[in-house]
Amino acid sequence: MCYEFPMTVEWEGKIHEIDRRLTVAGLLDMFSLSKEAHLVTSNGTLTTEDRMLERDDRVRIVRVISGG
Amino acid sequence: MKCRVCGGQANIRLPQYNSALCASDFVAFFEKRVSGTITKHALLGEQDRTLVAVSGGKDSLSLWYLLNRLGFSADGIYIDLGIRDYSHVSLVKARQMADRLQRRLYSFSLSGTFSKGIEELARIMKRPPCSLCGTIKRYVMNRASTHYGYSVLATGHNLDDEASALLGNILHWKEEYLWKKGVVLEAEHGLAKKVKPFFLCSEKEAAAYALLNKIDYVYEECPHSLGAKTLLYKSLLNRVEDVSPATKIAFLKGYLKRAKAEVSREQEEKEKSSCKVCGYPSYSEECNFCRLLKRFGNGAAVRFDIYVPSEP
Repeated sequence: MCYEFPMTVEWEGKIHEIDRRLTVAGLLDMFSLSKEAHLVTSNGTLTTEDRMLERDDRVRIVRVISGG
Repeated sequence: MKCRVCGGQANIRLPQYNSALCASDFVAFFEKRVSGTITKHALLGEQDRTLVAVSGGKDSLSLWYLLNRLGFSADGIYIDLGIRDYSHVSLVKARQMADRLQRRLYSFSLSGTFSKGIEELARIMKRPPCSLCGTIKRYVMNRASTHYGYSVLATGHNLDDEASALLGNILHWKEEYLWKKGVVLEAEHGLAKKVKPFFLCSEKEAAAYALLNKIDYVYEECPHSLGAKTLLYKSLLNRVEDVSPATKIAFLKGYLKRAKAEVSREQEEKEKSSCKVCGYPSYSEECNFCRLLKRFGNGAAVRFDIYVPSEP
């Protein structure tokens, strides 16, 4: 089955397209990112790591660590 | 995952507290936690005038916003280091918050006094920009506090900032800095009282608070912090935290317990002297900033611009 709108994931200024459902935790694992150092929003709403992300969701990964 | 308070859909998981909260309950939780730190460590009182050190990042803007939400009438101080677009964007974000809060924003421009930005100044002096930045910020923020009659200077240092700095000090056994961290540094000898209300709040919590309150902050890193050891230490601590929640807070709380005894011992031994030019505490006749001013200053006095928001 082909979806017209894959999930879009914005991470560090780049847009990635993912054509399958996965959890927030799965997404962070896919990018090898720490859960403690990142927040994830789905369609503008902050989401917990167990949340299932759907194929047409607009997802953003927010890095929370800063400073030198 | 359900919110532990209302049972609705949770928006953030907080494994260090074995909890998950929805957006509104998280905001209430975070504000209560910061308020608790302020009370427990006597950071701010009703009679205090507070100045918040504002960088344009999530921590300082969230702190400025939150202190005003809690009823503390806090103004801001911003230091323009002249780092290309980064400094300009940071100032814009700081002014946006001043407008939102209807509070005053003081700003100091490095190039106004030295005709140079931090990069050029650091290059001429053969010093790392971050080290020079620290010297200038500490001095200027204190000077603004004392000059304009603010009794407390508040900074947005969070749990991750403090834990990573502590780890760095231990790894390199920097004993001269090791016991100097704390939630509060009392006013003394020409120095304003300094407080860190986010000391026990993680960087993730501060970022979530900013996001949920639609605080528009500078997301980009300072170009000079790329590759900094602090970021490495933060990353290492967060990897540990992922596997063993509450490690960072246990690390810092354990430190605070031990630091009290060490600090009181050190204070007795410390010799106090003042800069003969400006009166700022210094180990030599002239403080670092006055020496900097003498060598590279353009003759202009240290002055602050004051941004007063117009009525909305």
